[in-house]
Parts: sequence; C-alpha cells; structure tokens
Amino acid sequence: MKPAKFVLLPAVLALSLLPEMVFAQTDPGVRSDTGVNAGQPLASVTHNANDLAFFQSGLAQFSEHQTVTGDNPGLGPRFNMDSCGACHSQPAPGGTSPASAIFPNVGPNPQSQVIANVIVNGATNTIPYFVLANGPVREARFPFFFDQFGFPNPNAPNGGVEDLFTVSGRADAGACSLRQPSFNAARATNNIIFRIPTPVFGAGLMANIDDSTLLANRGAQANNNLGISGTFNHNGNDGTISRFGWKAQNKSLMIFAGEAYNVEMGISNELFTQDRPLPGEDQFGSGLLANCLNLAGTGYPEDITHSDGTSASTVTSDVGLFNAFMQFLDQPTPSTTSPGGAASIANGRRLFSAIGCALCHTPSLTTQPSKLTSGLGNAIANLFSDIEIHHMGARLADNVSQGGAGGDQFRTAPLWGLGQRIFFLHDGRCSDLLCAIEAHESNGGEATTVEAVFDQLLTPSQQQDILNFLRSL
Amino acid sequence: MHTPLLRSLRPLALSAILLALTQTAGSWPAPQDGGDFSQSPQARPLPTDALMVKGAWASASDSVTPLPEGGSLADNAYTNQYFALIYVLPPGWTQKYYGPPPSDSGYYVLAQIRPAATNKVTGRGTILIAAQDLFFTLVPAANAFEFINYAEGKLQADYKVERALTPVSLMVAAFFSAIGCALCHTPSLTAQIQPYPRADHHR
Ligand code: HEC
Ligand code: HEC
Repeated sequence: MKPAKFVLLPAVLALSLLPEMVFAQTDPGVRSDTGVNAGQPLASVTHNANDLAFFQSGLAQFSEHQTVTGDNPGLGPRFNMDSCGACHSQPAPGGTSPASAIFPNVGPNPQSQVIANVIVNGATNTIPYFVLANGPVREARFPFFFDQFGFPNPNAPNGGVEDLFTVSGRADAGACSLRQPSFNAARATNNIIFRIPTPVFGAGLMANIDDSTLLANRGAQANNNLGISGTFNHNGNDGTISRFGWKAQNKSLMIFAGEAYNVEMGISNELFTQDRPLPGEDQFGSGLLANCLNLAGTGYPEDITHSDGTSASTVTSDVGLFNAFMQFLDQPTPSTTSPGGAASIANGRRLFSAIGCALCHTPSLTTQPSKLTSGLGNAIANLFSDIEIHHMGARLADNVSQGGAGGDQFRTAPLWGLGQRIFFLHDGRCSDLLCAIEAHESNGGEATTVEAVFDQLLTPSQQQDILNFLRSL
Repeated sequence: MHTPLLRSLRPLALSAILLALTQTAGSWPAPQDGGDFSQSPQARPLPTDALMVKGAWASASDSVTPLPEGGSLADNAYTNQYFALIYVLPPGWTQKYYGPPPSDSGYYVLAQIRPAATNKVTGRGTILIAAQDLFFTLVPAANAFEFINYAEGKLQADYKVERALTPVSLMVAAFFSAIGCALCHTPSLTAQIQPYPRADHHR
C-alpha cells in the first residue's frame, strides 16, 4: 500500500478593474457574405477521376429520397426522414439542419413538411410538438422506459431513438399499422431529449487521426489550471477510441452510415441487418408485427452490395456510397476577414486559446497516412475538438448513456463550419452563440471556470472578437 | 361435506374482487407495446436539469473516512478534511456551481469560487481549488516541483512567467509561482500533500 500523493492547485484568475462597457457583444449570425464554404470534395479527390465519380455517386445517393417499395425501396416501417440529405443540408449536402429564412435558404425544417410532401399519411401520423417549421431537424430519445402505470421509470434506462413517423397509411405500405411513440406523454413527464444532426464536412479527416495523436493531445492539456480533464469513449468491438456522434459513440463513418440508414430511415443493410422496432417494442414487446416486415418485398437486408454491378458505384451498397461521399468531403473553409475584419478575428482566435476554450476545442490535429486519397493523409484537420468526452454538468445532461459516455458527457463539439451553422448544442436549444457559450457553466461541468472567465474577465469588445472568430470558421 | 367447501370459497372470491379493484384503480392500459407508449393521465414529471444517468464515475466509495472531493464552503472559507486544508476567502465570495466528478486521471476540482451576485465590492474573478493525484497524473512529474516546472515550460504564447518558481515554507513543502496572461494573473501555490495514512484508495 502506497500512500496517496497529491499536489494541490489553487488558482486565482482575477481582474480588479473592468473597463467601461462600450457596447454589447452580439453574435454576428450565419456568415453569408463569403458564399457557401463547405461541401466540396478534397482536392486530391477532384484530381482523380475514379475517386471523383465515387464521391459524386455517394452525393447522389446521400440526397436521394427513399420509398417503401419502388426504385429506392426499404423506407420504414418506422423512420425519422426519407433521405440523409434532408437532415444534413445546411449550408450544403453533408451539413446540418436548414432554415428557410437563413442563408443559403435551403428550406424549412423538412420534418415539418412530411405530410404536405406526402412522405407520411396525415390520417395516421401527426407532426410531433417539437418539430417546427423554423426549428431544427430533431431526433428524439426517451431517457427512461415507461413502467406499467405509464410513468417513466428511473431504474429502467432507455435512451434509444424513438422514430417520429410510421409508414402506416402510405399507399405502398400495405396493411402495416403502427402507432407513433407517446411524445406528448413523454413531454408531460419530462422524459424526452433531442439530438440535432452534426455536420460531416471533414469527417474523413476525423476518422483518420490515430489514437496516439489523441492521447498525446490529452496529455498536453492535462496540466491546466481551469478544472478540465476529459476522457475518451471507446467502442466495444476493438476497444479503440470512437469519435462520431454527440457522445463520440460511433467508431467509423461506415458504421454511422449503416446505423443512420436503419435508425433514421428504417433501411436495413449489411451492417444493421434487421428492420428496427422502437426500443420498447424490442425489449418488452414482441418486435415488429408480421405485416410490417419485408414491406419492400426484397427480403433482407434491404440494402446490399451488388455482385452484378459493373463499376465501383454500381457494385457498392448505398451504405458504402454514403461512406465514400462523407470520407471525401473536405473540411469547411474559414474566412480570414468576415465577420468583423481580420484584426478582430485574429484577436478572437488568440483569446479563445488564452482563456481555455482551446483546452477542449483543440484547434487542429494531424492525420495519419491515408491509403484512400492523399488529401486525407498527414493533413491538418482544423476541427476545434479534442474528440474527448467531457462532463458538461446538469444543465446540458440528457441522461442518455452511450458506450462509456454518461448522462452529462459529450464530445467536444467540433467547431469547424460553425460560421454557417444555424442551431447549436446537441439538442439545438440555441441559435445564438452567446446562448451556447452560456450553457457551458453548470453544476458538475468541466467548462464552468472557462465560461466564468469568458463572462467575467473579458471586456465586451474581447468577447466580440471571440464571437467574430467563431463565425469566421 | 358442502359447508367446509363453501367456507373456503368465500375468502377466495373476496380476494378475486380485491384484485379486480386494484386493476381498475390503475385503469390506464398497461403499455402492451413496451415502454415507448404511455397514456397515463397523471403525469409525474422527472426533475429538470438533473443528472440521473451518471455512467462511469471515478470516485472512492468510502463513506467513513474523508474523501478528497468531500470539502465544503462555509463562513468565507473552503474546508477540506482530507487535505487538512482551510482556504480563507475574501468576504462575499461563493460557489455558484460545484465542479465535475474526479477524473480518471486523478484530477479533482475541489471548489470553484466567484464573487456572489450581491458582492459589488471586490473585483471580478474566479478561484479554482483543484488537486492532482500524482499516482494517476498524465503529467510527467513525480512531485510538486516537477509538476509546476512542467506547467511553466508548456505555457502558450499568451502567457508569461511573472514571478519565478520559488519554494516557500509551509507545514508541507510548497512552491509558488505566478503566471500572467493578457487578461489575468494566475499566482499559484502548489503544495505536495501526503494525506494521513488510510485504507489506500489506489487499491
Ligand atoms: C432525421 C434526420 C437524419 C437523417 C435522415 C440522417 N441523419 Fe445523420 N445525424 C442526425 C442526427 C440527429 C445526428 C446526431 C446523432 C447523435 O449523435 O445522437 C446525426 C449524425 C450523423 C453522423 C455523425 C457525424 C459526426 O461527426 O458526429 C454521420 C456520419 C451521419 N449522421 C450520417 C448520416 C447518413 C449517412 C445518413 C443517411 C443514411 C444520415 N446521417 C441520415 C440526423 C439525421
Ligand atoms: C470542458 C470542455 C469545453 C470547454 C472548456 C469549452 N467547450 Fe465548447 N463545447 C464543449 C462540448 C462538450 C460541447 C457540446 C455540448 C452539447 O452539445 O451539449 C461544446 C459546444 C460548444 C459550442 C456549440 C457547438 C455546436 O456544435 O453546437 C460552441 C459555440 C462552443 N462550445 C464554444 C466554446 C467557447 C467559446 C468556449 C470558451 C469560452 C468553450 N466552448 C469552452 C466542450 C467545451
């Protein structure tokens, strides 16, 4: 037995005089004067005809709308939307939630239009209360199962995705009749949380950072005087660091594509081979009813690799094409001058590091060599994330545990492309950067001291520099 | 003959009625489709802004001896029994938010202190009291001197050392240094502490 040996680290961060408030700092809003600065393939992909063709087939597949039967079959029986590109569209395919009135005017929340666009039948489905035309695309989860009396049971954690819509009543869905989950009851009992889409620009770079690089970065941030110490989420299959999703719960883009195809769109595939019931139907019920199975009439899995294909893109499964599209997407291009001018952005970048935001939002990490395309290898990913999960405290906690991440642990949100994003934080609760920053302080959160420094020690004009910097990304 | 049988039937019938009654009392249908459906008219909401699913939580579970993270703030002082520490504060400072749980690399946020909203006298600022268990640290340091020396060597461009590392004598060996940046001064007193021997929480 060795006695514990501690170092005690009291730190005082103080400023005795606060300069006069000259103006109030404001979020400059979605950057619109520099065109759309994301959504292009890597330059090395553009220069290789085969890779470019593969990327473009992936883009087409990502944007395609699926139906229950027909040319693009497999939708449902439960689903959140009928196309990857519907949810991932701002400011370009691969991005996040759109909004009709905001640059580049992609359109209203597509989930609010599913009845009007005849994707679901309005006689059998209603639009859930949290889906608003001018709000973000949302995925819903119930942190806890309901008990036999209809109350959420804190001893029965759920956390799985509750698909919003059913194919019931669609002309191509036969006799399959399913109810939507009890969203109103979940709301009344505070047993519902949301997730908004994360953008996938630069995702291939993120996939190609070696664990050793991530661990070294963690070690380099360890000696801070700001109360921060993250950890990593690991996947259960090979035990390496997982990195995708709000809690870094998924290992690879291929796995995410397979999961999203099944969970978001109800299309089984070679990674996730069964049609997916709701979490409760799977755990306590009898699964999906027989007349809701094999609705496409093709057998399972609904998406497969085609042995009769004649080119890379006709052989590859849809999931493989989604993967190709996402891994070849370049990172967003930041602006050096907009908003607020070069001096303000440069100062904001400096302050962002100086006050400790960069202890979690690591400005850049270098990738390992890539066999896929040269642009992914030994490249600098300006992701502004350490890919660690951090305790964010009770205010942001969603009480969903995924892999090693507990109810209040989230992956440091990568900030690349932030300047052209509309909704922030895992549930899209903010559309103003100050709201997102403010949410960083909370009981049990690691970012509380850094947020307090932002709030209390920076002058309004220094805060404005940070906001300009963030919107330049 | 008949009578004994009737007698034993009566209590049975009674319990059957009771059972039926309990079922009607909770008359909303049991969710036959599993836990994704509820028609309960009597909503009993879960608390808001509360962490209910903790996940892995690095902490000792000993409830008898003091824990490193078990300090408290009262009467203008932060007190921690485990470290035998009393940290006296200027009046009007308070802990608005408590810190995160101990990390798996042995880092403890003990207190995060700032001027109370009502405090108009002192300047703005925050005081963070933290501790690092050197057994688990990711920092290549075996003692307080190496620890603080390493920190100074890794300073970002924005920071500069305002006062060089100097040993000061306390009950325990301690080192003082001051680091400044564009907007703050971070005097830090780093003391190495060996708490009294106890059932070792490193196993
Ligand atoms: C209903 C809207 C919706 C649809 C349709 C959708 N997604 Fe997503 N996507 C999300 C949400 C929400 C998240 C965040 C999920 C989480 O972490 O909880 C996400 C996250 C992702 C991520 C993780 C990126 C990162 O770095 O965190 C990838 C990759 C992804 N989606 C790919 C796809 C693909 C491929 C498709 C089509 C098969 C698709 N998505 C369809 C909503 C959607
Ligand atoms: C302890 C680590 C940590 C620190 C320090 C930190 N952040 Fe974050 N940040 C996160 C995490 C984790 C999220 C995602 C939280 C969520 O969605 O619930 C996030 C989200 C954000 C978002 C929203 C991004 C999105 O995709 O919606 C912004 C903007 C942001 N941080 C800015 C900052 C700024 C500015 C600072 C410094 C004042 C800062 N952060 C300090 C961990 C941190």
